[in-house]
Amino acid sequence: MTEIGSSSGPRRIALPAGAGAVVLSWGTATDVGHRRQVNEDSYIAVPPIFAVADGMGGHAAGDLASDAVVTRLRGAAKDGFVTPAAIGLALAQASHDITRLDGTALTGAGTTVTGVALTMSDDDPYFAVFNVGDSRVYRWFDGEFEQVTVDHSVVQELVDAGAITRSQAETHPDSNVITRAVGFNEPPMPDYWMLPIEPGVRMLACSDGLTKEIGEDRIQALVAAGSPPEATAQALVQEALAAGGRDNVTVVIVDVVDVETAR
Amino acid sequence: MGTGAFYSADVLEPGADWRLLVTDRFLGAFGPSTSVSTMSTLWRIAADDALGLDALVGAIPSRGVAAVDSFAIAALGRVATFVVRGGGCADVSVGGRVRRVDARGSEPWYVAELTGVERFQLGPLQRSPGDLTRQARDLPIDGGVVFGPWLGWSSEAAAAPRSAPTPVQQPAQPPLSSFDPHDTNVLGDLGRRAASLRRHRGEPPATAPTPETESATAFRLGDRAPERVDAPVYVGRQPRSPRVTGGVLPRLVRVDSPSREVSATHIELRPTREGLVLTDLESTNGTVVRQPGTGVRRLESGESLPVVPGTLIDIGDGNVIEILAYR
Repeated sequence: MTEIGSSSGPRRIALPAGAGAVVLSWGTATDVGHRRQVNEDSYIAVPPIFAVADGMGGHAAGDLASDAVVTRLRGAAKDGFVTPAAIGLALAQASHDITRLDGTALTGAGTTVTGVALTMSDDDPYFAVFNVGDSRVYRWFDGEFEQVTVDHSVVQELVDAGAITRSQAETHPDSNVITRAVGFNEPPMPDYWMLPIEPGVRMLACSDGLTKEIGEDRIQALVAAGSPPEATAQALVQEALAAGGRDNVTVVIVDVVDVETAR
Repeated sequence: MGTGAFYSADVLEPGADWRLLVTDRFLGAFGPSTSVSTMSTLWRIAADDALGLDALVGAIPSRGVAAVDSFAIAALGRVATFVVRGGGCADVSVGGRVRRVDARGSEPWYVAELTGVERFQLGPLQRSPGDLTRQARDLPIDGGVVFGPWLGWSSEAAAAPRSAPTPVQQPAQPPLSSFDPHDTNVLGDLGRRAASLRRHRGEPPATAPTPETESATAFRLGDRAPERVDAPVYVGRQPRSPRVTGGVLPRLVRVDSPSREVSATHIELRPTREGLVLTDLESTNGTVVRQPGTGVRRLESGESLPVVPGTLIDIGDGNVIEILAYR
């Protein structure tokens, strides 16, 4: 696993034009879990990018794949903000790096990646949420907890087609089969969402070691409890371990403490 | 208005066997080893308005027999993005100073994002850029794929009104053979280019637009500057976008609404080949539209409506959007 950045209390990030700033605090937590030998998750928590990657592949190749993604994402950050185009190019670069990994020719290697990046549109700051695979981003704001990303997975396609319900999806035998990834010799196809940055917004990025272990109601309860980001991230990981800890589990939480704008 | 792109058709210049690609959004110069089938794929992606720079760059083979070892690509926009690999480079003028963007061994490529770009040239490293201005012998190009030693762009050429067509010269070298010769135009106007794109996409030819039926391509919010719409636009008090796949990101436009008449994400303006389509995004207080010649009407919640230039859209709290035909 590769960890880039670490938890931080409120930090002021000036907008590129010099007009105003965004104040964020964030926290991270990760654990190998009770069953796996290696933690193949990686994360980055350095403004402007907060992301989680869940690597897949034999002989630690998954570890290298998730490492490639967070390393390339770190390279995409400039001036405290990032364009979605730069995120897409960083993922394409990581895909190239992953195909060059040794010992992956037969099975291939790849990784999910999902996260939140500070970006600008029309001189206003926004979160660009990006996703490839079945790691997830959630948003908590004003009493509402929502899953922002849509899994690229076989069961999500079954849910979309109306073949199974969301609760059936949780226990479906194919629940670990994903339909998009970074790597596996395919150009990545990220989805994006642009979301407003408002004081009080809390964003959560996590690997499926969290969401397959504990239900959304428990995730929401811990996210809404009001603890600081790092304590909340650790509480979520501990709960996933207590529920079985069958997979690596990684959580990154970002709080919008304040937004200072000229307008 | 042209794309602002131009190139040299001089077959004696070193590097005249580079492949140069031009669309509204992308300019690219690809080394001599780039195969015709790779260029064909890249052209298809570059001409697809739903696909972004990451899709274009992701489709360039970086290893194996078809590997493209040298290229330089520019994505035009408020922030211009340059992607260079191997022996390809971009000489870029910003604030009157020319800097060279090259890969210097970065694998698989090097990315630079620059604002305030005035001019640039894409091509092989072994080339002195000069002052990057367009010379009388250089040929403008609005779209297509041609051979040439370098590809230039200038904001002046992009903004200059197109007057009477310049005399058409035969390209000094025949176009790549697998392309529709109409796609590989040298001096064509925008209409001809659009027609060639439609043929490329297998669509029937469009009838020539008359000034009265000019399609909507831009908007102006209050007294802000007019803006061309080349990606979906979401306007609201605190706008957000739905899920977007393909890499072309929407524009979010925030308006002030002290009495909260405007919903968080109130309307969408979506570009189509026929013009703009307005959609009320199930706003709380609705959207009032005044179309030229048809009076005032209120959109039903969630209703869509094609809009023509001259249309006024009132979303509340004094926020009025005017639809324009951007030239």
